[in-house]
Amino acid sequence: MDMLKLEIKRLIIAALDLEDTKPEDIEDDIALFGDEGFGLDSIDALELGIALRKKFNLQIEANGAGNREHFRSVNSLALFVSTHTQPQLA
Amino acid sequence: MPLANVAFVEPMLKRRLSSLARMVLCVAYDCVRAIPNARIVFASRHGELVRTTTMLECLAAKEELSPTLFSMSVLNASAGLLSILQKNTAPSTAISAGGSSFGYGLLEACLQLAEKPEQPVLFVYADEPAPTLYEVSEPPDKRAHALGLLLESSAETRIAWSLAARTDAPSQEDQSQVFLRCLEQGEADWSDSRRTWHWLREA
Repeated sequence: MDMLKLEIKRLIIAALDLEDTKPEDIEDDIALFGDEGFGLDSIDALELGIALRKKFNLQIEANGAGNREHFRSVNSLALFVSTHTQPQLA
Repeated sequence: MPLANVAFVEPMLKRRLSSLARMVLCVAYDCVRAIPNARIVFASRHGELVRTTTMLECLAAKEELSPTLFSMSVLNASAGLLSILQKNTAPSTAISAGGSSFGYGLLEACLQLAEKPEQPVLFVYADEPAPTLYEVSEPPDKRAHALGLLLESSAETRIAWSLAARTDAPSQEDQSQVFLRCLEQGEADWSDSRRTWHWLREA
């Protein structure tokens, strides 16, 4: 799970052009979105959704009721990825 | 080419700036750092064509479009960013008019100032060479560049402008560079296939 969290942090940094951020700057449980937390916005959410779909072959519904909870933090994303990843086709 | 310095932009916004937007904000900020309510006229021949081309290539390859690229690809993206940065609610205009984008943008800015002399107008022109894919005919030494001019009714420099049927061979330079020569030397002409633009510094 820790490897997966690190992978997700690296994905966030790369997909959202956070060039001055290191993986350890993103706490596992910090709220990713909103000014109270890490400060990402709605465009970041869309961009991150695309990156997650590509990397983990995730199925994410555009207006899925659970998205807000899945995208809350690195912890919740790791849980979401580990339970929803589709097997990669060779 | 090194990117224009926009250290005054907070990092979360800076990461989304194209090379064009960085140039625009860099020259704009030099002009209006202390003037938070200037009207803005932005002109560019190709605008964010580099980004648009990247998006079209993604579509052609059946890849998903980047929301970030999409949100910042319209002609008035840079002018909008400046107004957000400065919390400036004054009118903002974006103009594109082929090879004469600089001249018509400057004309628009001058007309806005004439209409309401008490409120300064910031004019910014920025352009990059079009991606080679488009095979656009451009000046041979065309480079990415930006130019900011602050127009105020109290300005000491005054420029007269006229437009006539073409007399010279079409110019081999960008219109903006020819205008700079007018500022430096007092007078300059620029021609496309139809018209000759003439600028004369009066003071």
